[in-house]
Amino acid sequence: MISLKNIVKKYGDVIALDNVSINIPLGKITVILGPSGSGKTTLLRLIAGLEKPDQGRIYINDVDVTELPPWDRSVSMVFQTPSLFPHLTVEENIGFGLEAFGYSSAEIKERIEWAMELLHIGHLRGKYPDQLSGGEQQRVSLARALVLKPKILLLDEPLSNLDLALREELRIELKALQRRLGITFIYVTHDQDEALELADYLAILYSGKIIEYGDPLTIYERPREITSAFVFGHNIVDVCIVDGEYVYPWDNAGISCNFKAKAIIPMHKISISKDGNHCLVIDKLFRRNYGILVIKCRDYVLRIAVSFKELGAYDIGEPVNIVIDKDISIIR
Amino acid sequence: MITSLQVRSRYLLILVLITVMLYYPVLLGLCDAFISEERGFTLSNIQYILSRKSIQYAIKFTFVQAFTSSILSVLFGLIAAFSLLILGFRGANIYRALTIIPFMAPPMVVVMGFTALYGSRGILTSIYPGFIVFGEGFWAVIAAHVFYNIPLSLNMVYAALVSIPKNLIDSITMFSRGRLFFIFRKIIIPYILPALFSSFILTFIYCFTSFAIPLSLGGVKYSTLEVYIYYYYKIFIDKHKAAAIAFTQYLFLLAFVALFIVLHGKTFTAPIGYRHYRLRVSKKFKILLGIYLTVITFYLYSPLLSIAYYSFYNPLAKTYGLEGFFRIFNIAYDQALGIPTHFIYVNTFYYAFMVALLSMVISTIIVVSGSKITDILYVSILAISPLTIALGLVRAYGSILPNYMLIIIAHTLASLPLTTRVLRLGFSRISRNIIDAAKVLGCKGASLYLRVLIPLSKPSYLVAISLALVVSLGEFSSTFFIHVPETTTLGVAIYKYRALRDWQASAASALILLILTGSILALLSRKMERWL
Repeated sequence: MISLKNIVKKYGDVIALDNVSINIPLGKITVILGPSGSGKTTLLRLIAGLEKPDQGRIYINDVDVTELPPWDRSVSMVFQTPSLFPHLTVEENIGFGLEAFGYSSAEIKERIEWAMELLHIGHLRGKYPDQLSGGEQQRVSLARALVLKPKILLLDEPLSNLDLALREELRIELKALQRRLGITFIYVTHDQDEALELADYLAILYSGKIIEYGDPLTIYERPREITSAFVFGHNIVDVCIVDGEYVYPWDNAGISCNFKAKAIIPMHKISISKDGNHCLVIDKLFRRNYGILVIKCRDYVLRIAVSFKELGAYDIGEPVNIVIDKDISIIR
Repeated sequence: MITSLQVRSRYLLILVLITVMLYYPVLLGLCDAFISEERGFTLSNIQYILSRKSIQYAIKFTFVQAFTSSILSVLFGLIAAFSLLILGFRGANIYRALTIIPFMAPPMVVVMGFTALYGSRGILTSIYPGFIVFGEGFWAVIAAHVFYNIPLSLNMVYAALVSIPKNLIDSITMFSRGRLFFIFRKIIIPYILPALFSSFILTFIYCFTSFAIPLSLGGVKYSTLEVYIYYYYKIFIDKHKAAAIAFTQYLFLLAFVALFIVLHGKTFTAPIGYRHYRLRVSKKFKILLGIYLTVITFYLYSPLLSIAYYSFYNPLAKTYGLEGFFRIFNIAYDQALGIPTHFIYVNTFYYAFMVALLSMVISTIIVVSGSKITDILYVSILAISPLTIALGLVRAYGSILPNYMLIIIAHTLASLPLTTRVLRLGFSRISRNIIDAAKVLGCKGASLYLRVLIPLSKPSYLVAISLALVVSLGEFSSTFFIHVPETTTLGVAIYKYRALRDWQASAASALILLILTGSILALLSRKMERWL
């Protein structure tokens, strides 16, 4: 278990991490999701030992590592930019850490071969970083980190500088790699898709605070915090509850109620039909694998995930009716 | 918009200016090497000087002293830069910035500093006589050159060290186990190698053309080619042989400058702020580095401080007092120097003021004309020694321009590489968006410079003016070559007091010059930090 207890980190007057506590299980992929500036990288750097917290303690397997340097923590890290040494070849870059750890040359050679095979980069061995593509560089960076056989691998948005197709390909490889090696991955990203795809455990970091932590699907479908809903881009609507039923603003004719609760409605939890006129289609958006219908219901703008077929079936300006799944979060 | 005609006319203006001030006189001066009064074109001057044992020895000495000085300067500077980085104290940047004081100290001030500290009656020599080796002779020349150039290599290497990108530093920290020598061998040395070579060659060029130090501390036995140019022109009154030596020296210099150009593109400018390396360094090692930095600090500042001591101390009578200061205003010196003392100060300030003015005008035109001209000028002046410039100016304009104007031109040429570099950096730091906004709002041509660029570059003008003042106040080589008694400056006067064996008057004058230049540099050291 990796435990962070009451971690505070400040840069001048800016509080990067504000009393963060979290227990991260070993042997799984834990993803820290948050927008830019939320403190994700700082959190990772503190676990790595690249920075020290102003307050709080960090434990790995119950051992207090707060004061230990990175090389005594059994961690390794892959950075956002590959950060390869430009004057060393791929092989030398991968072997750099092993040499620093004082392994014999035979063992260094053996481990380099293992890492290159693992990442399918044997053909790049003699090349220099500037002769590699972005994806190849990141593979080498990953090999350099894994070759040390760390217990914990920290990944700081390692795919964010790559193009979409490569990103998706490497995501699958990363997950497979973790399953194969059983190493603890702590992965930082601002990309929700990436987070949901990779995470065994998901933590949402916002303004230096962990606002939710747990099973990714539960957090996605039923977030407990409005901020989480913002991070995922869910619809947020005021509701009142009458006799245990949610009443939405566009459904409340004749009912007196105070809208004291908020419903968090993921886009896929709304179904749309043409048999009604509560709402109006105001826009149609294409995403890669699905479409979004933007509709207006009274003063509320909602977004609904639909298939391309459904997207084509509706016209802008067309009156529609919606039905919202009952299995959603209501925050009072 | 600036038309191509305007650009061309600016290039032409600069070309004419530099040709008139530099290329034409230098070419004319060097041509004398191939002319004999009787036979016209000849190679006999070159053959003659190359066959002379004394010149052969001077060539050898010039190389040996430049090489030794450069190796030692780079080595000491490298360790000092590394110590600064590892010790990582907050004042490291100020420390670095203040090293500009020894780096730009007037040569005669340094000479006096070394005399006061290591000379036959020097402060340290009186404690341990063995220190005399740094007061006169071969090792004195080396020690003074090393004193001058440690700050250069310290700043160049430090800039390279802190320019290693932050993400690479993270990689080093993560994968190197903080092993100092491993990091040094595998990453740092390969990374800073171009900066090391650059600072080596630049130091080599400076030492190769050194004049005041070998002239004053080396004596006849340890004279550089630059000193021989002076001897042949002024003592043996043979301008052809002097030109032949200058030409020979120029050929060597061209080769070094070419090497410097190749490597200079790979050097670094220190970013603002501080980068932290997490290295596993023992306390003992840190203490060792601290001691080393203290010794270097002592080495860099003790000669300057000892001048102050020496100005108030009479080593013969072993008494303290202000007599050194009184003596420089003694009428006897007016006669010995051929000029009333107060005129020496008038000359020094007047030249400095005119040089600052001229440099600003010319630098602005150069910078406005484009960066290529700045580079060409920088390289041109680096490749031509101060005495070769002085020789050329005297040869070309000695009979038509008053002596003081030649001195002003020589000083301006010496300051131009610095001032243009500072202004160019200042201009380049102005946001492209601001320039575009000004253009969109109708500001163009000269008005763009007068209303936007120059006002926004005020800090760099302040630094450039200060540097021009410091260069002119302390310039010795060309001034000594060109001057007549009426155009004596403070630097030349220090040399003459010293030649008359009046150490106290010499030290008192050096102190005045040091206070003048040092206070300008110290006041601006924080701003200058950016240009180091």
